[in-house]
Amino acid sequence: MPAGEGDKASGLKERIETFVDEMKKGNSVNSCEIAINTINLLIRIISQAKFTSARELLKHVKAEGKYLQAGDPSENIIGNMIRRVLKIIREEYRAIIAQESGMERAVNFEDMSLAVDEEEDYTKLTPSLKASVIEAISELKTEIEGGAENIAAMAPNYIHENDIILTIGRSRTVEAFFKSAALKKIKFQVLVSECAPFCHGHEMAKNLAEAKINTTLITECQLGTIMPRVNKVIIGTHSFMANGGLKAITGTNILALLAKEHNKDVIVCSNLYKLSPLFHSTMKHASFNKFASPNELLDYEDAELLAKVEVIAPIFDYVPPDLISMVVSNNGPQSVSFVYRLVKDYYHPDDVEL
Amino acid sequence: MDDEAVLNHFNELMRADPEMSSAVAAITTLVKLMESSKAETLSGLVDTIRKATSMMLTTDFSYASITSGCEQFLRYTTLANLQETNFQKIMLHRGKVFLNNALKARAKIVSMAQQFVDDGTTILTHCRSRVVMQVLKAAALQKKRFTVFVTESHPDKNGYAAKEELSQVGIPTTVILDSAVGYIMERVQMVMVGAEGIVENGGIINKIGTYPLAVCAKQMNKPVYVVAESFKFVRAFPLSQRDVPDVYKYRASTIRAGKDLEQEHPTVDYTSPEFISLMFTDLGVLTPSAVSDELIKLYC
Repeated sequence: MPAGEGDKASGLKERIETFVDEMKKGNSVNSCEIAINTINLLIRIISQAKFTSARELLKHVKAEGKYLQAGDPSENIIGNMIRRVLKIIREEYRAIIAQESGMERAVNFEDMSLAVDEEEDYTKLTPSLKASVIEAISELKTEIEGGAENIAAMAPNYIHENDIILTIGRSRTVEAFFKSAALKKIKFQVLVSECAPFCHGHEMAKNLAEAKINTTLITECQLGTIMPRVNKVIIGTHSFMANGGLKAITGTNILALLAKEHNKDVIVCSNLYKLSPLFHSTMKHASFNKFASPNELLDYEDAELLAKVEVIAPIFDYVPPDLISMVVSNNGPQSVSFVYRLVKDYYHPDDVEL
Repeated sequence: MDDEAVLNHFNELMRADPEMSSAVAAITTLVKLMESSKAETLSGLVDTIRKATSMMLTTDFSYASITSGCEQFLRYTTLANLQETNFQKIMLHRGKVFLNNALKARAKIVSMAQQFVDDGTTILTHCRSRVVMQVLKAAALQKKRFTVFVTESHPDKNGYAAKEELSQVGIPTTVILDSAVGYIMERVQMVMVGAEGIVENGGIINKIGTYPLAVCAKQMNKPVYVVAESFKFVRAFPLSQRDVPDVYKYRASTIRAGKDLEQEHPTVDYTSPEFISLMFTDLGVLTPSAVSDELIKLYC
């Protein structure tokens, strides 16, 4: 082994460990960074991988991916990125094979079939695979980085003069969305629900006020009173599931239910890397929710109470798809009932289970 | 194979393995027919397949299943670059691929559906669907503890057979009256039913009583999961019960006897997609709206 290669390998190992550690500690910054970090790691993993066939590469990436995801099983974005990369490998492989065998594959009736055909075994030798896969992944990275801007640019289509808009907690995407509308000199009012017990809403309200947007901070208990006065609800989300349901910060479900009751549109701003191929099957599903320290709910001073009271602070709510009017994504507005189509485009069915 | 041989072969398959879906038995029969066929032209072979299909449809097994399976089979086998010299070989090969996928479908569904069955759940099911039985039994084998309510399901009372089968693997099962669906709904977390056919808009045709079950579940906000293989996707677009053709609703023998159908009990009903949460198929977990996409892929 030439000198330096061993260093490289151990350097990668270290990076992977740091990533998993950070995820375990819950030090994650924001979803975009998680996505980019995951992709960067995957690029390194692939560029240092030794493989003779696409099949070996798929297996290797899956195994490493499984390890990355185990750092925080509830962080869907890691899994999403791994699956997107797996799909890229499959597509690049097919493209190379198709190119090699000329036009024959172009008229391929097998592709039109309903049932899955004889399975592709990904064993043919494709020396150029690594380079083209890495190039395609870099494209994906650029797409993700530019996503927030694309979404924000659409704000004037949805925010109008004198609108009263309700949002919850803090979402960077939504913040940029509002600011972009404000830059276009649209005058509107934002009500920010504080999102107790974490109260990320405070920061959101502060940031919006600094951008000279008319902002009011409210508590979740007031949502019912406020809802009739609101024009529309614009929220962000942690991720969304394959049926279009949201995995969003706690409180979002009440908000969406109230909006439905009062017939207000719920618009979700989200980049499509947040779309997961997984379903929210049951409330108990281990990988769905995460629980924070109940410190905010009950002080340590009241520790003696702890023996008598159970205090829980789940981080996520599941919001069923029928409560959501539409998703404003980096690919433009999408209807929730169309999400299954996107899942099909982005992920290969064999990769859903890592 | 002549008509009688086709019918015998089909009936024999259904007798030998009661767990086999009638669609799979029909497809197996068609593959067998193709193997022995001496047809010299493409249209001749297609005609033979069509004729065999209509023969099998004269039996009392589910019309929806047989017709969807056979139609897809024919479409799939002919969806290739067929020339006069090699069409038998290509079609037979594609036929076998299709059959193979159909045979593997159930196992795929069973493993996919597992994530939806959880410890402590109470599940309501209707009649005795072979796939649902396998999903539940597999979950029990994974040491999941859950309770099942099953409707007795008139007129054939297949619910009792379902209870028998589930009890054998240790799942606490209770048979309820068909009319007790509303009574029991507040106690269940989800409804899981099979389907004889899945129509173009994502609705299903299934054993009579599925529709009121789904309506009730929707009203009480319980998810309704449909478990069915993709060879049950059928080209029909009913909007109401009356739109469902009589051949689907009544047994072939009843229709042949020339009885007044208004006086007969229909054997299936149509459940529209708005009442269905998700479908577990071998193509993946689909929302009802995804069904038309898949059908378009095959037929357009």
